[in-house]
Amino acid sequence: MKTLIVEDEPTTRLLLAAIVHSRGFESTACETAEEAWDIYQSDTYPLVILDWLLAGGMDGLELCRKIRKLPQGDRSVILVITSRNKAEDLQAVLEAGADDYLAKPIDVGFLEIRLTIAERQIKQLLARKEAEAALAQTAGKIQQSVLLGQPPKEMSAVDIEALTIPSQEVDGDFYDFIKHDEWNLDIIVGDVMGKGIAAALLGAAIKSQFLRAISQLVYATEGRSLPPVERIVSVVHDEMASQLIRLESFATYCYARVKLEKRVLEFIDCGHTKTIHYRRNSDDLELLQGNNMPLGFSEYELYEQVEVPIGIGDLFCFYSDGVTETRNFDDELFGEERLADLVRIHKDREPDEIVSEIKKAVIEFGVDEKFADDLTCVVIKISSTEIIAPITRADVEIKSNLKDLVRIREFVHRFCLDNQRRIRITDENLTHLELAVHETASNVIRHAYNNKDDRLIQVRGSVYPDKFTIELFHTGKSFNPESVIAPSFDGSRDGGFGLYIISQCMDEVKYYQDNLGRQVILLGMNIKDDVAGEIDLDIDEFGDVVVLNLPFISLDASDVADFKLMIHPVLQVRKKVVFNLENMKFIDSSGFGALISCLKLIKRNNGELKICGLTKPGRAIFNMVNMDRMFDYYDSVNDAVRSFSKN
Amino acid sequence: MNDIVIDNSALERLRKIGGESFLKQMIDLFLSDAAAKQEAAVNGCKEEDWDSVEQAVHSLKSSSGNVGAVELQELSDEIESLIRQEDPEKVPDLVNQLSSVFKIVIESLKEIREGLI
Repeated sequence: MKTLIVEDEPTTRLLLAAIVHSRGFESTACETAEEAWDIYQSDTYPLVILDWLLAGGMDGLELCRKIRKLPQGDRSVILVITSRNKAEDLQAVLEAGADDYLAKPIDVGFLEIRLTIAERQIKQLLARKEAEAALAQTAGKIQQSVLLGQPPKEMSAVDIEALTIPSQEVDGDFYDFIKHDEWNLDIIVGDVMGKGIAAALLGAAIKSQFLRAISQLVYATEGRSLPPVERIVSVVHDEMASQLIRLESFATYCYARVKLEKRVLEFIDCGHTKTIHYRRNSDDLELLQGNNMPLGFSEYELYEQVEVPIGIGDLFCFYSDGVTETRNFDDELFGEERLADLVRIHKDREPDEIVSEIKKAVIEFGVDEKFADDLTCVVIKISSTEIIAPITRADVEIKSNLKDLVRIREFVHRFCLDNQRRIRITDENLTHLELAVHETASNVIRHAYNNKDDRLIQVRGSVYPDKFTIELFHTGKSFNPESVIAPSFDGSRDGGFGLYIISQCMDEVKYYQDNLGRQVILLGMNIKDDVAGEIDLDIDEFGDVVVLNLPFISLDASDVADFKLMIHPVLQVRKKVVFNLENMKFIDSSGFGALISCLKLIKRNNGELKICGLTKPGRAIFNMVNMDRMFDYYDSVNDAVRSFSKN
Repeated sequence: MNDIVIDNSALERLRKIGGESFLKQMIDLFLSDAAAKQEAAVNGCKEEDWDSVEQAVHSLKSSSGNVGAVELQELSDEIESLIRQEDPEKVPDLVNQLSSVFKIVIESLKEIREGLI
């Protein structure tokens, strides 16, 4: 065991060294406290024996106090030797941080006893330090896995990077990400007062309370809607605030929700560090700060979320005060301004690069790589690629009753018709889709819900630029399609056809659990390249007559703008036009208005517009509003084309 | 003579700690260092520089105790106490006594040193 002896009287110094050696310890002896101070800082000495009165400017007790202030200063047992033996003198020795004392002149017998005590103390100290180190290591691992969530990797429109540099101790920094779906991401970044296991435990409790609040609120709406941020935060406040007050602790945090569809960030800040928002559009920075108090300050708190508009290329930087409160050699703080400048400078880079630059800058700025506080930093970028949000969406909910299957088929049918202009589904594919959805829902009722007819199935139709999907959400048993044996086509088995039909009917079939814990079955059908996005007009030309085969199954208030956009350019350049309406099965007053606007336009150009392909019911409706007085109808395309040559 | 001024049991303890060689080392160190302290006490006393006297006897108290010079140790302690109590009146007499005892201690230790192998 290394022993540092500080004694200015030579015979005592020699005596101490000899006694220490006789116990098998190594020793370094010096005369002054100044010399000892330099030696102590360059090595580790489990035992320090020092004289109170020393030659030179610094006495033994001052040295003792200085040692105790060092980070490693609690790792030594300090024994003070003194000829002062009054109670107040010994009190001063203990107050200076010494563990024990021995009266001078040295009685070798007593010194041996003191050294035995010191050895025991050192063993206990080492054991305690080892246990603390093991605990800190375990706590650090727990902190990494429990307190610090993993950013979702599969969000196509948001790039996220999170960084943690743990301090020497575990503490209460926490963050988490909750991906509700492709368009909604919640971010929670918080910090519990203080350090150590207690702070970490509170951090874990608060974090789990958030997850609990979300799941409770989602359950309350049976997964139909996302609970508002202010509601989640209020529930957590109700659960945690009084407990934290009782524990005389508090936590700062901010809760943010990226809503890609609405292009906003909803935000509640409870005394946390100001979130940095870089806005690509205006090329400026804003520090977001809310008005709420930290959790644990008050029993009563009213939360109101703020909305911040977001755009492609925007950045958000969430961080703990460990970043901004890092100090340099001159005791200056790293500060918000430096951090904001870094975000500004690296605004065009990816989150992982920005985080790496922040880490580098903070380490370079700080005194050493070991920080007094945890550093956490989360950078989010609304990615520059196009957000693949659905163009349109529709939902329906049914009971898990086989009689309700017809409602799902009706919903799917209506959804396809409503979006026919974009998806251009053929009658055959529509039949396939209805069949696949029917089979899927039937499986959910019979197998996932075990024929219990009081459960719910949510159905959602979505149209994307390149595909459309029908998703079925349920809370029954999960299903592994690989566990189903393929059907036998030789008549030997009667099962397995449902899945086979579904797989044959659809381009894409997925089974997964969403972030709300619901089982999801996704059925997808691709939109062919030539009809994806804007629809090309199907045009036939007969000499100078142009026939527009209109793809619209319905022409109503929701379609007329697109209809005009598509048709008017043709009417401006052609004078003999036929509208073939054989696909059209429904038209409302807006649709009639759109047809009349086409007629007016072509007449302005001295052209003619004729109509063909009307079904009998369609013709009846046209006649009801006297369209027959404005348009010439023909049964077939040929009749309509020929009519121009008769003029 | 050394029966009076040197406590043999103290020397025996030193011998037990590190053998004859250590005992010799301790005596040599005392012989080479203590005279300067005694001189500092005498000079300090003449100049009534009580701080210097206190410092010198404080050191002498420890070193004399270490080599078993009990009387020298007690005198040093007494002088140190009087100065700390700011009562230096008797200090000059005691320093004179200390000087006399010191001479005997030195002679005794030299004699013991010569007897060591």
